[in-house]
Amino acid sequence: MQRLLPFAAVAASTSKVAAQSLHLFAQQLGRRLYHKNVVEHYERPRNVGSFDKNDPDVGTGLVGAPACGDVMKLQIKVDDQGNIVDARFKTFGCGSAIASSSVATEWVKGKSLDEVLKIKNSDIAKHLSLPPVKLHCSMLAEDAIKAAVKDIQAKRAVKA
Amino acid sequence: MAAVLRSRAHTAYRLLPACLQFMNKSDCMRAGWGLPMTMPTNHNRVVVRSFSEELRVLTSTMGEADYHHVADKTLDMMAEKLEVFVEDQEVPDGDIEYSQGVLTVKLGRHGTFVINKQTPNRQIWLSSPVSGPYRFDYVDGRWIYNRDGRDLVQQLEQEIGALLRSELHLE
Repeated sequence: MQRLLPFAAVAASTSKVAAQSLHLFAQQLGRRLYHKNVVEHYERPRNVGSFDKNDPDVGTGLVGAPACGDVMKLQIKVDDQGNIVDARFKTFGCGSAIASSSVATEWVKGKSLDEVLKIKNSDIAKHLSLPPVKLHCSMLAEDAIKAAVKDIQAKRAVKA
Repeated sequence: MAAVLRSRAHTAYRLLPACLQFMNKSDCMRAGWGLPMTMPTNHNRVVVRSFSEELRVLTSTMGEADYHHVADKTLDMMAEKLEVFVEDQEVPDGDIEYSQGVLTVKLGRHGTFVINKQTPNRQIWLSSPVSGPYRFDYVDGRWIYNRDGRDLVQQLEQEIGALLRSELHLE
């Protein structure tokens, strides 16, 4: 029964009807599942990749440490008006960390540098229904956004 | 710190001793270095024992044995006190689990606190249902969050006390 759980999880992530029964099923076995938003971002991550970090329009945020098990690199491409036109991420870490940084790249697109600084780890955690022990992943994603913004601002300050 | 940095200012980043490699950006800039490409922007601080008052001594080069000693002492104390407290308060679905450096404080409908050791960073990490995630460094005998100076034990006393509407003393 328990071995079927991963298959059931994938099926449920693509079928709305099965989703509710899956959670009851998992509860009876005393198991916890990743929220479907996390599974979605893990299996179909958005915006994976990188930009040229030497590009003057690119801000790079690199946070975390391999020893801790989590490293996130988030890059933003910013136009002359200070709006983020594109974003990429690469993350080494757990499913929640990958999903958090994937969500972060989705949310920064189309926003201005000031607006993205308002993105809080609690918003990301709520969107992904992260359990207590994984809240640190969402904090790291918030830090990555801030680091990327700081980088592009530093680059532009040097240019000016 | 500034004197140490100035004397090292012409050494390539990769040749520095490990303790000076993990520095924050402002120290790097002040020493006249450009930002090394290989340095992560969110990273540990340095322990440089200094005799000047202005420099706070942070403990990322604390030895592992010392770290386990102080971290275990703190977590053991919290686990013991919290077990008694949660039982006395008769919290519905309240439970304390403590094993392998992870202390899980379940308070039923109030949420779950997770306090765990993070050995590579020499930190204690807290996840609070009230205020979110925090990372505490060992500074002068206390566990302090470096961004705003809050104290781990005091924060837990306040938050858990407020949730259960009863005074909690962990030390």
